[in-house]
Amino acid sequence: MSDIDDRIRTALTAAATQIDERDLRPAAAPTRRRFHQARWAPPLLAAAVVAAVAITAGVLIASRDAAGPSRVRPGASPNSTSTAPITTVATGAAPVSTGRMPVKNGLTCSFADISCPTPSNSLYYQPLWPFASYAEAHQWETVDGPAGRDPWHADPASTALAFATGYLKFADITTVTSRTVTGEQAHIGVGYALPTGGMHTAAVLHLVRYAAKVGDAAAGWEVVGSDDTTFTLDRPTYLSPVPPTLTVDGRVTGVDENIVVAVRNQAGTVVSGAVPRVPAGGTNSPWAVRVPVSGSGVLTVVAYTGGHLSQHEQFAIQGVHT
Amino acid sequence: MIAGADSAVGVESLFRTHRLAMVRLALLLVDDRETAEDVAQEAFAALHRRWNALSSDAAAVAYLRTCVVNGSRSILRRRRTARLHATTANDVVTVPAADGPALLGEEHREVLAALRRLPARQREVLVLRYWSELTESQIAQTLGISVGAVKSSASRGRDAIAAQLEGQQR
Repeated sequence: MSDIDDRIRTALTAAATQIDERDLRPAAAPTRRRFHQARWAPPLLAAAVVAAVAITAGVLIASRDAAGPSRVRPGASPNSTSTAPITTVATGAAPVSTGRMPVKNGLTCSFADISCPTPSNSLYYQPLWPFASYAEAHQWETVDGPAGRDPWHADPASTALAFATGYLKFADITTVTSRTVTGEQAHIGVGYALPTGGMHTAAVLHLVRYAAKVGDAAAGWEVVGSDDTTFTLDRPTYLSPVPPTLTVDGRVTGVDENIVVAVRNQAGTVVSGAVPRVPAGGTNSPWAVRVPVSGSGVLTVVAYTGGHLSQHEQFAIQGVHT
Repeated sequence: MIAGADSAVGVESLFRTHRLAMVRLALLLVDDRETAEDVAQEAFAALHRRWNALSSDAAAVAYLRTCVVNGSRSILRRRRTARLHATTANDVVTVPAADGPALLGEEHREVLAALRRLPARQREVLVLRYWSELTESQIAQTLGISVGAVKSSASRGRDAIAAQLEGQQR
């Protein structure tokens, strides 16, 4: 073994072994929330769904209103009687003098600017949704929120679910399946209930508080990305500039997957042209597709795969800009 | 399917025995403990989905490792862009090395700093090789790349670190 091998090995060992069991925050093993799809499972379960729906439709309708607070009807704002969340943002609001979110390269710097006391993660993130700017977030935090409008902004789980249903228009994503909130950040699993019981997670969305300072518990939550595991969106890279025709690729683990890619602007409008579906499958298999893009500003690339039990069984997002 | 264990029991068992290892692996890829714990937690959650396709504990651990690497890469993508948008001297974002870098010797800090400057793929290969002690074929399987790509990434990453360390000594 050479000196450089030894140096790399010992440095990694020293860094890794600085933490021990007692340093980890208390946590239980995650409970089952995803559903393995064997080759025979989709048709079998699809038939089960049809039978179950036919037999129990009346019961389901009667019980719909009794569903828990994390379940929303497609396109509806969670915990709110207002219209779809994207229409409730105070777009065009006058700049707020007390907000200190500088703009760099035409993009809003947020969450960890030097003028915004740095949270523990010491990072910048690009706001994707629901607030298109800090002014909008500040408007809700100081005016609209206290007046009772759209209280779902205060809850990362509700915001994540509203992103899937209201912004991405994924009507089959109806449930929050996991929730990890740590300080200024949240990782929220969204998906749907399986007919056989249990939950299926389609994506884990990453959100941060859209605040000018750390510890601002009144600030609303903002989606900034997704945590990809078995379905990844690797290119374009986070917040990279997009050319008129964009190459989108990643990796997928699954059976008979059918990947669809679209690009949306911050208003939720699809700004990508016709894109062929990408057949894929296997373990950690690469996939790629070329996507024509006509929008401008901050854009969200979304890739999803499904068709067995639901249209959107796995999805991933990536923030980019023109 | 892992014999004699349903996913709840199996994941719970693996969580007890491998959580620290997965957090440590993530820590070497994302550099802060809080995020590393999140990444590891998501990996164990994903394990439920693949449980019936995993033939042994070893296969489950290999799958966990892949999830940790992919999850870490997802985090790094956002960080990389964040740094690109820090345009002034005052905006320089300092992501801490592993937790408590001050506790590490100078020689380790230099190596870790050089490691962080590598492309993601090279860093992943070196971490899996030198920390996880995986073979080239195991690394290839974990990352979903060829053995040849593992070899070239390891060689380039190792050479780049050596060059950086050599440059610092001049």
